[in-house]
Amino acid sequence: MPHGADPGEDLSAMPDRIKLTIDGKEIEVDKGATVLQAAGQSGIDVPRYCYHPGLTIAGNCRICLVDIEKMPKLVTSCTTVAGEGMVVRTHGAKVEDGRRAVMEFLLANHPLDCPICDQAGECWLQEYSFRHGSGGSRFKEEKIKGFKNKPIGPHVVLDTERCIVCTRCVRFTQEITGTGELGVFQRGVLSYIDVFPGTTLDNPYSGNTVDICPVGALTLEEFRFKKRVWELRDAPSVCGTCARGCNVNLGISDNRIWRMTPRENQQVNKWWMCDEGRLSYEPLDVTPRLTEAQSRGNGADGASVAVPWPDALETLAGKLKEARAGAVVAIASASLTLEDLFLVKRLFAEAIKSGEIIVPEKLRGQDDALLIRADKTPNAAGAKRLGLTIDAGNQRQASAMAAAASGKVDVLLVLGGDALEEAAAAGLAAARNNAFVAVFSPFVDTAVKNADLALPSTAYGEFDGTWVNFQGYPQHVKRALTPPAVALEGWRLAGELMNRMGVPVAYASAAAVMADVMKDVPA
Amino acid sequence: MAALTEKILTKNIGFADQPDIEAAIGRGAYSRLKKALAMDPNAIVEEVKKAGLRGRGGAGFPTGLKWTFMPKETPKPKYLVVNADESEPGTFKDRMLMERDPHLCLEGMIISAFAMRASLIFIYIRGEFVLGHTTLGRAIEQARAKGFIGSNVLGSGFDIDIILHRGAGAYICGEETALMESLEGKRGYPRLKPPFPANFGVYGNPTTINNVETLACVSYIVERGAEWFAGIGREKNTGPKLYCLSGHVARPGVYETETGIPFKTLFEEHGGGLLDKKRRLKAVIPGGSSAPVLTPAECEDLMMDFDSLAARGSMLGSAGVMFMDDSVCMVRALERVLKFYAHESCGQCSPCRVGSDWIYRIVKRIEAGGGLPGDLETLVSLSDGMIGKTICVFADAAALPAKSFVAKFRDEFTDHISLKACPMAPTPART
Repeated sequence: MPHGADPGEDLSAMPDRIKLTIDGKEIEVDKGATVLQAAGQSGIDVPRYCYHPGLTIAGNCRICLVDIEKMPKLVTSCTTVAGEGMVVRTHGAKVEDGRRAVMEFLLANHPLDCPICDQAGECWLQEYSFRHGSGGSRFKEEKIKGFKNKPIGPHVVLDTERCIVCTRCVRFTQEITGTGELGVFQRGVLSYIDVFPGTTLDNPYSGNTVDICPVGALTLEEFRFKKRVWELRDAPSVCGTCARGCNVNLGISDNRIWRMTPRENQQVNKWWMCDEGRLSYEPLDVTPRLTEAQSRGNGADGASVAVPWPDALETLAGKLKEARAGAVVAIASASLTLEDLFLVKRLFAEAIKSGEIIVPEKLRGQDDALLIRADKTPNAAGAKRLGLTIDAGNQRQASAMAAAASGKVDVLLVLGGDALEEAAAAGLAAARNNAFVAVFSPFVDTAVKNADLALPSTAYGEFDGTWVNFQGYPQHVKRALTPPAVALEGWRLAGELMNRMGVPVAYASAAAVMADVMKDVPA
Repeated sequence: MAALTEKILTKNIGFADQPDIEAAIGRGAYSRLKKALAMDPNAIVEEVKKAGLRGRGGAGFPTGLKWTFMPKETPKPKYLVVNADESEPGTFKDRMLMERDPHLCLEGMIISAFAMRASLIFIYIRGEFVLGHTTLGRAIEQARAKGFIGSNVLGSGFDIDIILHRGAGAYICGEETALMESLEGKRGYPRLKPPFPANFGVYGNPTTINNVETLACVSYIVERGAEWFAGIGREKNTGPKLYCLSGHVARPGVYETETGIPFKTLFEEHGGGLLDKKRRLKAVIPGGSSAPVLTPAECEDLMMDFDSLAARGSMLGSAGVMFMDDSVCMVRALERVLKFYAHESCGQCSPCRVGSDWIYRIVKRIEAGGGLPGDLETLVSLSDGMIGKTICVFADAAALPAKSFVAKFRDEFTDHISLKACPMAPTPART
């Protein structure tokens, strides 16, 4: 039975399968697959530069040459469709000679400036030189000169001397974004990639060209010369910039994110991510962190004073207990995890027993045809799964702020660093006059400055948890950075408050919370 | 099998008024079209197959067989593309046909389109052929006015139109798939095959591409029959053929003979031998500059047809026969050939993009006196690294001559390297 077929399925709809032999291994693949893809499915790595699974096949780099029985010449495995009974060799003297020749051509005019190249360590020229190249060079002519360090867009820098004209970037702008800023100019050995005159590579996905560039020709303005890539550890994570939740790798070193790159997920983001998401780590390092729980001082200047966490929690729990029925409002960001929101909900249902949780709406721009969503929160779908409603137009939030300012609210909880837009955060100053305002945020932001009590939370990359993207996929966000000792996750804060309000809960981890979420929330 | 006793394709090129349709009709033009339109299209294809006509553009592929690759039942329009991008150095036969007898060309095209049931003909003409473009353009208008082009041609129910498209100066656009890309307004990069043009050609529609001379032959196959055509020339190398003679030959020009004429006859009787009778023949490039070079000894008993030349390790190609006498420095000659290919590589495939330039620069350096030990080994091994490793055969076209020059005139190359100079007299400046 074909893979993945269940008994009820119409088997005639399944693609035909064919069998071929690669390096002595019999392999069965869907009809229409190329030899390179067939090899990949069985774990045989055929080198490639121009081939990218997300782009049309160009067949121009010629490094994927293989030897197929009954074919007189070596053929490119990326362009050859696997045929029934084919016998393919991806190694052997003939293949190695062919690849060595291609490597020699690719490196002839290459500047070999590896020591100062940002691609070093993840460069496919280096990798395949290591595997198939020769130690010396027979090239005795003068190398072709080209552009170096040419910014072709706000984020992408071009070095045509390193370029091997595989046209991955060109095809990306033609086929994925449809923006077509890039083209090949001149011909023969003078061929080079550039933006068309009068255009810049400024589409919202331009950074992907850097990822797919197999060599050091395209580098990212924001990352180049910042770190050697072998000093980075790739931590799998999920981007929090919008409701798509692109799967990413966080390039981590020194407990800091140095870059974000897309991680393939065919259901969510394929191989791509947007530039906004890619650069979303940048503010994390420059925004001042809230390094301690702080209480607004009694002095005329309102200067904050540090308070130990237990005292801060006691104070807040006390305020919540004292509050009049229905006079507690939480504005809880949809950037909080499913686990965080689950315990906030329990806090209100079981400990406070009344009051209102408002999940703000954060819309900007339009959904586009590729990845970007207008909803700039990563977990609005998760909040809805928990039975929370998104505050359309932020009407309820406005009413709650007005109610707090006029004394109808006793405690106003602001949960999440991005829970309030800047103007609303400034409005907390008025709310504070009649309500106790507690803000849970990683940063010393406007909301924190206007709070009666400021509580430090973990920031992006520092927590474990689950976000549900707009398609309904729950995606695990894994802790990649060590948070400051003082920072708490949202679920911990809610749990601590419940314990102090006489509703004992004991969760050791986000996973433990998730286990209860699963019991509670229909899948 | 017989020699050609009369001029066929070039019969009327001597008449100054031949490009005018009335004069051409007076000499028989479009009478073959009338005959063809009364025939079953399949019968025309069969005639062309029986005639043994092989493509005159360079590859020598059987034309009738190529036509049968066109799908019979298809909802898509079918196209005939005429490759008039004649750019192979040493080749100037199609140019002459288009400039001197455009109606013969057009008639063959229309008959062939009818045979394949194509509804549109694209003529992709080399950009530099300004006269050919003007002449063909005028001929198309005249033929349209006469009802040879348009809807319901001569009341037959057959509709055909012709689009004349000028190239923009790229040799690679003579490669059939690059030509199609260029025709579509894209960069002239050869396409991956499969899919082949017969299934996915211009704008993704079934397309056949033929050379100008090939299509001109079709008129006469219709007029005189396959047996007549097949009776001319040699086995599997039939029909009249245009040879372009150039270089150090007494009477350069286009000569029409039977396919497979003996080299000696072509050179001595038609070409009149060497230009300078005091010199000796040193080398012959038999089929355009991409054909491997031959020594006089190899030409001694050579027959100038597709199969004989292939057996000798070269090719008839576009039948551009270039003669070099002993005043020629073979290193300098190869340098010039390779300079062309380095300049014309489209740059799509790495081995050709870099290799065509690299081997040119090695030969240039050797000619300039900068040759180094090991250069020839590098040159040959780089050529091997190019051959058969690219999307189209351009890399082979650059590398094969290089290998043949080095193999057959190795001493000249090693002399250059050891003397650190060109031992031949400097090439006189062009005036």
